[in-house]
Amino acid sequence: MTTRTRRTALSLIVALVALWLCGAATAATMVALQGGEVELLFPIEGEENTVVAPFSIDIVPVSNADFLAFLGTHPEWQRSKVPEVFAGQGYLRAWPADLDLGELDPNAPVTDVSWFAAAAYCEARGGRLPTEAEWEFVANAGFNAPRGRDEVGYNERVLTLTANRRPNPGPVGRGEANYYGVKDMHGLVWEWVFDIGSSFNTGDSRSDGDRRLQLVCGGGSAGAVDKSDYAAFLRYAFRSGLDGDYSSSGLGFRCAG
Amino acid sequence: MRDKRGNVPLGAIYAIAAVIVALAVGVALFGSRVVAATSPNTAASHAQDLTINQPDFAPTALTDPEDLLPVEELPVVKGVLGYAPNVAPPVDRDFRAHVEVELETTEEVLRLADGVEYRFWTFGGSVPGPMIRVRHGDYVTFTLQNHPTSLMPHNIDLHAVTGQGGGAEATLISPGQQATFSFTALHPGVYIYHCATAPVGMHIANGMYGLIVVEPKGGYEPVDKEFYVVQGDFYTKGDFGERGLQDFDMQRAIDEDAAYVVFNGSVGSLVGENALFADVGDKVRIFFGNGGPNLTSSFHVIGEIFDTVNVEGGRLINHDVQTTSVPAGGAVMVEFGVNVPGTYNLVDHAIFRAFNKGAVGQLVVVGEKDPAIFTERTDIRPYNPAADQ
Repeated sequence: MTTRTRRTALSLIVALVALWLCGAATAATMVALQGGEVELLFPIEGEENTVVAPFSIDIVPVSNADFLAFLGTHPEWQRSKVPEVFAGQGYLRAWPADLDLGELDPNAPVTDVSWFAAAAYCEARGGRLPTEAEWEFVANAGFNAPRGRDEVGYNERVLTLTANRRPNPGPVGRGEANYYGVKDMHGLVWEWVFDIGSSFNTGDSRSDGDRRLQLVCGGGSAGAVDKSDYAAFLRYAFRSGLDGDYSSSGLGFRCAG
Repeated sequence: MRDKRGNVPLGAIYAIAAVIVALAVGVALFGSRVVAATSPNTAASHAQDLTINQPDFAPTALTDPEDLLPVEELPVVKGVLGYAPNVAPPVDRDFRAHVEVELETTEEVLRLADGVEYRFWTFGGSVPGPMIRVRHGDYVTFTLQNHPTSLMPHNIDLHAVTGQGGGAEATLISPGQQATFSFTALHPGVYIYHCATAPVGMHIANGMYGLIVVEPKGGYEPVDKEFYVVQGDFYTKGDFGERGLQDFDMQRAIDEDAAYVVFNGSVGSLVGENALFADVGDKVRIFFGNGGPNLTSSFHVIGEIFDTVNVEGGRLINHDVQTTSVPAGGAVMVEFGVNVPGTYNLVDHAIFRAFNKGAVGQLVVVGEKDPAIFTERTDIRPYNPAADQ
């Protein structure tokens, strides 16, 4: 690396840090929610409905530009430096270099990130990944009502948003805000949650196992709360197969706090 | 928040305990069955050499000397796939093998009808997925690969598999992953395979099915032409023929109100220049599957009678059949000789599906006419009953 390119890189990093701090200072990037009961697709028999405590969540998924700024201040998460146990081969695969988005849209959601990297990003921001229950609490909201199921055409609309996503997601924030003012829960990318299931012991491994079994095969929907909520089936099925070092071009994240 | 889920150590201990108990019970049960079914010698070595142990009441039990060979001693063979309407080549082998099969899942926009596109989820990039063909008793090592550009997780349930989910659990993979499992083809026959990831109906409705043929040890009788046809029903937002890229319509699927019922994944896939061809005098065999997800097929070839039907794809052979019922998630093998030239339409004889929803294919037979069997029109004249009185 020549002195000049090093200097350019350095100034870029400084600029990005400034940009990132600036972004973090903007209070309107998250919404605070009261929490409450959440209907998970597969309630665990004998357990009461899951209740989520008050929390806040990002209005939109983390963007490429956001993540680039993070990599400037946390070089240990750059592709060439991150240990393979924390990020598999596909990690940031579309980036030409450690701090180069190439042709990626800076405003598009960051994808090809591992769970570990996503969790580290949120931690660096003083937050964390939302739990599955929190994420579902927000995702179950309609566009005009706190419970999407009460809204005519909600299941169909969300399924269409989920199943017809493009392989290359567009900019964040274009989707219609839901009841809580949160955007892009369905139409853009899959999103990491804190407790992803089988490979993690953050939840009760017994019930995680049961739920995972329910996601495959003919009898799969027997225990589901809403058998016509196909989008929820897709989400739960996707999450059930994930490991922490996994990444894909269709999987991003947002933070909670 | 999620207080019950905070119970990690206790849950983990229960899980481990449950696994240990399950293993102990499994060993006890399996062990006794093995002893009952085969010689103690074989049973003792089973855990190591993967020889097959079956209850001896199975009519198609694998009891030949080759079936007792350890898997490591079997020759390894690459599975050859057949893309519809072409079949996978017949198993040209009179010995047991270790067959390795690879299949990829993809999501891609393909033609459903003229001017109509659909975002299909596929095995092997086609609907139906490619035909897999093995021999009764083969040990199959199956690898499923989910293309990195996929958005959905996928897996496969092969109806030819004896074991948990037909392989569904073992092969559940996210985009950019692959998974492998193995099975022995314990039963000969014609079997559907399909994706079994939640929501299962949607994965099937989007085209994720195909056939795996397990030939009996002697193979099927050689015939002149073999074809591979699979029926499926599709549920689009727009009605039949409505142009453009059509979305999946969940409510329609639940209501079993198919917009399309097609052979081999699209309207016209077996019509005109895509028609099947045979020569007069040929013996024709069709491996016909029904992926569903909802509708039972009344499979019929207009102007032909099936000489034989392997009912439901199994060993029961029926003769002289006009229409055979093929359930969703089922298959059949039909054979017939073609005696006279003509265009023979393959249909689902629930006939509105054929003429209004796409379930028509063509078998064009060329060659010498035979008036002793069938004359074309020999006479036409006005008919007026009133004038004769």
